[in-house]
Parts: sequence; C-alpha cells; structure tokens
Amino acid sequence: MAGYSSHGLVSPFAQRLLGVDLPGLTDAQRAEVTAFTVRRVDAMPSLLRIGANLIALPMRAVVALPGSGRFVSWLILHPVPLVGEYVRMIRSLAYTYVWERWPLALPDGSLPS
Amino acid sequence: MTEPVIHTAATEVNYDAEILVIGSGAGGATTAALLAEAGFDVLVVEEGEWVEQGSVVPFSLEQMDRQYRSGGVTVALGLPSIAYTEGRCAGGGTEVNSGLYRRPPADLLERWRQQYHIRDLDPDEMNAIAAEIESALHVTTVPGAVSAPSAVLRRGADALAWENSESPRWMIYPPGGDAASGQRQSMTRTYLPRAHRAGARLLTRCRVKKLSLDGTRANHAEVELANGGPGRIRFRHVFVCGGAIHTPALLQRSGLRDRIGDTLAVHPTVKLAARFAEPLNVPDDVPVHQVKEFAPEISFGGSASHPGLIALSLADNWGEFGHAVMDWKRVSVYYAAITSEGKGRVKAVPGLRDPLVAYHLTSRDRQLLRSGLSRLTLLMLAAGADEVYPSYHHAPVVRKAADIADLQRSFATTKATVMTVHLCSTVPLGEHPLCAADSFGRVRGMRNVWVNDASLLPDAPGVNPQGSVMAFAVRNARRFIGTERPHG
Repeated sequence: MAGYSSHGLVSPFAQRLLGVDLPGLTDAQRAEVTAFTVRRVDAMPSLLRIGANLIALPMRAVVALPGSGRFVSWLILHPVPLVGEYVRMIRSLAYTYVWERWPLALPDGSLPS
Repeated sequence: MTEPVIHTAATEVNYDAEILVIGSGAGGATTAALLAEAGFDVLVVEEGEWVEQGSVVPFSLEQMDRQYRSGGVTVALGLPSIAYTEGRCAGGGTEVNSGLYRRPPADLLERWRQQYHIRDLDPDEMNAIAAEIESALHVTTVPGAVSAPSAVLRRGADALAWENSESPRWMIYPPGGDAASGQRQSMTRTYLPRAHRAGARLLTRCRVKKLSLDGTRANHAEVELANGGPGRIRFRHVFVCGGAIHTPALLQRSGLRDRIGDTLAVHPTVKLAARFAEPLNVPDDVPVHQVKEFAPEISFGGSASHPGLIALSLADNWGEFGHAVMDWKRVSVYYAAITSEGKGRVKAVPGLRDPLVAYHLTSRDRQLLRSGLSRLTLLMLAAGADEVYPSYHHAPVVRKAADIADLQRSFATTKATVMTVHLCSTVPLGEHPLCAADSFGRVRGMRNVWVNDASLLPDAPGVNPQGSVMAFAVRNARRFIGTERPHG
C-alpha cells in the first residue's frame, strides 16, 4: 500500500465531520486539518489503514446524502462499534491538530477576533 | 556536551558484522555499548532517523511525525481498542518518553525468578547494574521546586494521606537549576556515544525485513535500505531489540513462531483533564510525581498537556467540556494506570508490513480502570481542582466528591479512551515452558539469535519499565560476553 493515499476515501467524511463538529473553522483551516488527518491515516500500520479505508468507503457515500449532517452529529454522540472508532480517530487527530496549531481557538474552532 | 555519534543512512547493498544489533533503544543501545567495549565488532541498525535532542518540541505533532512509529497512531485492537505509541528513531522510546525512572523492585524480580524459572537472577547483581545505569543516565530528582502540575499530585495525595513520591528522571540540571532547566538524557546522549567510542557503527533508516535461517543459526538479515532498495547484512550473532511489537513481528517473519508474540502485556491507562484556579500548564514537560497508594494495581501520574493534547482529552464529551480548552493554561492532564491481567498478541501477517496487535482486558482490568479513574478524580478534587473532565463519552463534569458517584455509574471502558505507553513481554525470558527465550534472552531453538529489549520482561512490571529493560539488557549482554569471544 506504499504510495497509496487515503485522501479520496477519508477527506469527504473528515470535511463533513469538521463542518458539524467545529463549525468555526474557515474553509482553508478545514482543508488544512483534513490534509493532516489524511496524512496520519496514510502513515498508520497496514492493517489499521486497511480497516480505516474499509469504513471510510461507506462513510464517504453517506456524507453525500442530504441531511447527512444530522447523521454525523448522531455518530459523534453515539459511539457505535467500528464506525465509532473511525469517528473517534478522525476527531482525535483533528482536535489535536487544531489546538496545537491554533492554541487560542474557541471551542467551535474559530479564532478570537 | 555529548560528542557527536557517527551515524549514516544505510546505502550499501552488503554489510558484515560480528554482532548485529537491531534497534537502538534502551535495549539495543546498552547491548551495543557493552559488546563493543568488550571488543566485538558491532553494527547497530535503526529503522528511524537520528534526531538531535532539543531539535523538536517534546510531545508535539512534529515529534510524532519524526520520532514515533506511524506518527503516533498505533492501536491494539480489542473492546476497547488500546492506543499505544512507540519510538522509531535513533535511541527509540528513550528519546520521546517522560524519562522517569524506577529501579526494578526486588520483590518483582523475586516473583519473576520463581514464576518464570529465570536462572541466575541475582538481586544483588541487578541492584549493582541498576546503580551503574543510574550513574550513566544521570538519574536524579528535580533540584528545588517541582513543576506546578507535579505539585498537584503531591498536594492531592498529601491531603488524602496517600503514598506519593517524586520519580527520579534521566536529566542533567545545571548548578542552581530548577525544574525547567534540565537537559534530558536518552540513548543518543549516553549509551550510543559509548558504543560509538568503542567502535560500534550505526546505520539509520535501515529496516530489517527478516532473518535468514539455516537450521539453528541465522546467517544474515534482509533489509530495506534508506532508498527503499534491498540489502543484506551478514553476522555471527544477532540481537533483536526492536521493542515489544516489532521484535516478535520480525522473529515471526523469519519463521520463529514458537511462543513468540502470544503474551503481550501493557499498563492500560485512562485519563482526565483537571482545571485549577491558577495557571499551571507546562506544555512541553510531564509531572515527576507519582501516587502509589494503590500500587502495583493502580498508579497515578501526569501526562503531557499542550493545548492539542488537552483538546484531545476533552473531545469525548466536547459539548460539555469544550469550553475548558480556552482555559488551557489552567488545565493539565493526568492518568490512572493499572497492572493488567489481560493479554495481547502480536501477529505478523504475510504480505503486510506491520503486524496485527490485539489486546484483551479482563473484567478485573475494567473494574480497576473504573476504580482508578474515580480515585484519580478524587485526588484532583483534593488537590483543589475546580472542575474535572474524565475522558470518556458522556462523562459528567465533576466539581465535588458527590459527583464521583455519577462517574462510577456512567463509566465503561468501551466508552473511554484507553491508552498505554508501556509494552512488554512478547518474548518472555526464563526456563518456564511458556517462555520464548532462555534465561538470558536467547531465542529457543536458535544458537545465535538473541532478544534484549522490553519483549523479555516476563510480565508488566507495574512501574516505569525502562529501568528494568536496561538492567536485564546489561545483565544478558555481560552473560554473552562471558561465554563468547570476539573474533577480532
């Protein structure tokens, strides 16, 4: 799997999740955080990466549906097996990155004016 | 000032060495230094790169990129899965961990000796070795006042009359220095320079894919060079010191599977963030106090707490806890670690670069984690915390002792972020039938394949394991020197 990027599978869901979870991020910030998340997924051990991509595949399809924001919010609050692990991983990576990169960010991800 | 170590990226297709040491962490670096000083021709290979101490911010994402395996995103599968981290750089985990040190306890060594039938495990010898290691690593306590997050642990424990102490650390403090002025020690500052002075060579960015076996001997290692191409290293003896995950994985890829990788042991931890009235956060360091009132079953300590890691610890209940991230200077992260009775496995999977890692917590482990998190919360309140934010889904904000009942009701390990940094016991040593290596680390059935890292510890020690890892590594290396002669 060396050289293969998870970008196409992981980014749509990560973007949607960040839009719901940290709505104060600008488009540019969201793209930066998503890119970081994808890089980390790509660096994961082989089996974990395969597993993450297997879950990412249907999740990418789900976020293309209308009303998916409500579903993503539900997923954040209700950790279901496997999918919940994927959601937790994306959120963990994103939160760590956002507050290391912008330590003054408000809880919605926006920067204080 | 530590003298520079000559290290080169692996580029040659063929290398030869009398002794090949795979891995340059606590086990590999000590093995290399002792064997080189005894006159052996030693080649150390390290999968990661050489990163100068101080050139990256401790516990930062950049450090995770450069010095951790897989950027720090590694998980033992299970219910719940357990996130773990491993160093992957010259010096291994010693470059990235807290540097806290505990001498292997005498009662633990005695239990191991009896339970795992470890031959010639002499407590006096181990104590003498520990003293040597402490001198070489400059193990010491903080001069003067400890950091504010560390004082929280002491204050809370004192208020509850719980046993606590400062854990000494690998650190050099300047005269008149304080907690913030220390120069962290590690293998790149101690045993690797020693190995280099004695003639050992160090190749970085060199991944060993497998050992080539011929009957009871291994002849050479097939490696991936810095440019991704194949290479080969011939040797007379090989010491595998790649850590508790990658040592068994390499042995399995090489066809050695008997009892190897079946007994992974860890110290699972759960965490919380606590907010205090006054600023206390130290983003690039960890507390040195540990609370041992319930040890070895449960221990409490402090974690790295830069704003990103605080956000991470609050993320499981962000709707309720998220506001605290704006107060990150008044927040610090703490952990409860348990001595688990569960077991894990490491399995190399054909065709895949990385092994499958799994871990199963027992019901007793789950109870201990619940109990540990509850008591840690009480400790924080006793230390004066305004609010405590336990790291699990739907956790309550705890403001007073009565709120802890809510925590105990709602906690489940499947909702928690369970982590560990201590991995061991995948190639346990001893003469017991379950042990994969003999009493001095030689892999069963092999004449010249040795293991000398955390994999050898028979089970999780209940204290910071690096002191135990190094003490066994020195003991085993000396035994080897006493039985083998350099060819020159």
